[in-house]
Amino acid sequence: MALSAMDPVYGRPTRDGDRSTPRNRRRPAPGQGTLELRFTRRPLMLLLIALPLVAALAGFALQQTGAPTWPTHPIVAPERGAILASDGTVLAEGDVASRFYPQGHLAAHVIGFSGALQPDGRYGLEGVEYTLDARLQAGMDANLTLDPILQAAAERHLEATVLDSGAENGSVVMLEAGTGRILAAASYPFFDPNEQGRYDRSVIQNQAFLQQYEPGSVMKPFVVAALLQSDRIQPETIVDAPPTMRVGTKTFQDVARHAPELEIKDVLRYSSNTAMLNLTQHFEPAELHAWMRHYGFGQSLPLRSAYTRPGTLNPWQDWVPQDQASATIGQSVATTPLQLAAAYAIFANDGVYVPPRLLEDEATREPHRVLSGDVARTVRGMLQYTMEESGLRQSIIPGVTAAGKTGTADIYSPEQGTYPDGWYSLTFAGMFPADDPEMVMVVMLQKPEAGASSTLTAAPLFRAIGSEVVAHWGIAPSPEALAGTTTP
Amino acid sequence: MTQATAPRILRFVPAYLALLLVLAVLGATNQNLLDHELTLMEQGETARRDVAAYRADAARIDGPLAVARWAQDNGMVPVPEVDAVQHLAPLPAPLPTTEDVRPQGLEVRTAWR
Repeated sequence: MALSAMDPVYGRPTRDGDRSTPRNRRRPAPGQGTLELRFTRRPLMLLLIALPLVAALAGFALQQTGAPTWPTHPIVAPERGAILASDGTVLAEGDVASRFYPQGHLAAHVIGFSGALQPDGRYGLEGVEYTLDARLQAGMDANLTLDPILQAAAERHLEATVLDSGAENGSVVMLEAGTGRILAAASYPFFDPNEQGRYDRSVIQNQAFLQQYEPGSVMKPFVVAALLQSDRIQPETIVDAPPTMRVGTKTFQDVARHAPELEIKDVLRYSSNTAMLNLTQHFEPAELHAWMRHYGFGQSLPLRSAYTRPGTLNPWQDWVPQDQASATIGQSVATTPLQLAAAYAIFANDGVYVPPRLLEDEATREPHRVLSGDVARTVRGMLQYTMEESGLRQSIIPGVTAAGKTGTADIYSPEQGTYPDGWYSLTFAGMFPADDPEMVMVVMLQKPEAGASSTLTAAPLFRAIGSEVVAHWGIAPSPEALAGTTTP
Repeated sequence: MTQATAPRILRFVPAYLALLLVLAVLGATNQNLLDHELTLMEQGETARRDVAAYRADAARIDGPLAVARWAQDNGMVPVPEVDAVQHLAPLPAPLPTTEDVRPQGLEVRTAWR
């Protein structure tokens, strides 16, 4: 092309028409190419720098949130399943960061509480919150067998009785006969899991499941049942019952006055220690030990939803004569209120041991037979006789037949290495209605003030709570019970 | 950069700018949605706390413990214990005090009218 190669405006050389070969291109003069690049890049670079800023500002302006903020990632507290009572009452709810216990101290010892993430990956710190942590962390609810109405009744009467008797603490366990469902498990003193940091650890402990103590005479029916089951005695057997008896280095004595010879049912009625010592001579130590384990004493309960303690049953090889004698009357053997209730349920279930359970869908060990139905019913009849004929009228629920036994035992002090004076526990274990039990209950008080007794303190507690159960369940009164019942 | 590539790049500038604007709008929308989600989560947490607080309030009124306490305070007893209840005569009506005695007389009625 013959036209000038210089653009009049930009001074940029134009290209000739033939762009096919580099040879035909016009080479710019030295220094001209640099100028050309500077001219073309500057606005482009400015645009490239400015426009993203403008675009970003425009974008943030669209937010209408004022100053732009750095995108934040939400911090989500992990979900946690709720804990419900058998009727759906919410006992615990909320995620791990904000856990609430709307019912306050109701069943607080069973529920426990949760807190910050622990090194073992749990949030639960106590109770069901701890034992069912994996389930709750998965967002699944835990449906407990507790009946909140009965739990409230148990707590209310337990508190009143503990305060009246000046006891240090107390607990109540209620089991549904036949199923082993734990309907109530109360411990006093109470604590509010919403403010658990305010309480001493001893207050938080679930005594109904964990308090190991020597239960006293409530163990006697088990020995009688074992002897009956082993055909060592018959219900009509007469046994010597002197006022005192010396075994090894220890002297045992009876509290109640009675005839020097007693039938088996009267041994329980008068809670004769000496008669029991005579009866237990039918057993070798290993045999008695095996029977105790058969009832579940000294063994862990097959309960996975809550921590329990197995109690203490020393090896029979270590027993000295007074140890076997003591075990017969409920000393030198330690149990928990829950374990004791599960064992008493054997009499209620016609000889079948039904493992207790706290979760509605809890898989526990299969029930197994411990006693024959005849023996279990016979002992249950003796316990009914004991309540009706002895000084246990305070424990009889009006209109309802009941079977039960008191127990008073000394409390061992590990610090002192002895049984201090004035330290004793009061227990009442029973079931109702006696002919076809629906409920098994154990009440226990520790270290009451002087003057309190299982007959005058624990038995009325059994009656007070039992009356609430009868009213709540609508158990019809039986005519014979109404005829035989007197009210104070 | 050669003379040939500069106009070519310039041709992509509008598209580039448009993409930047789209990106900015998307970013802003995304941030808005995130903020909205955060707000909803906060509201949800507040609602859960409110529900828990209301449930606790309700438990103080009609929870098992409250009902049991109310029944006891009002002298109610379980059905099996009804025969064991000792019925007490109601307390005598309180004597009227001087403040309770209304002045008698026409002027009072007149004033009342």
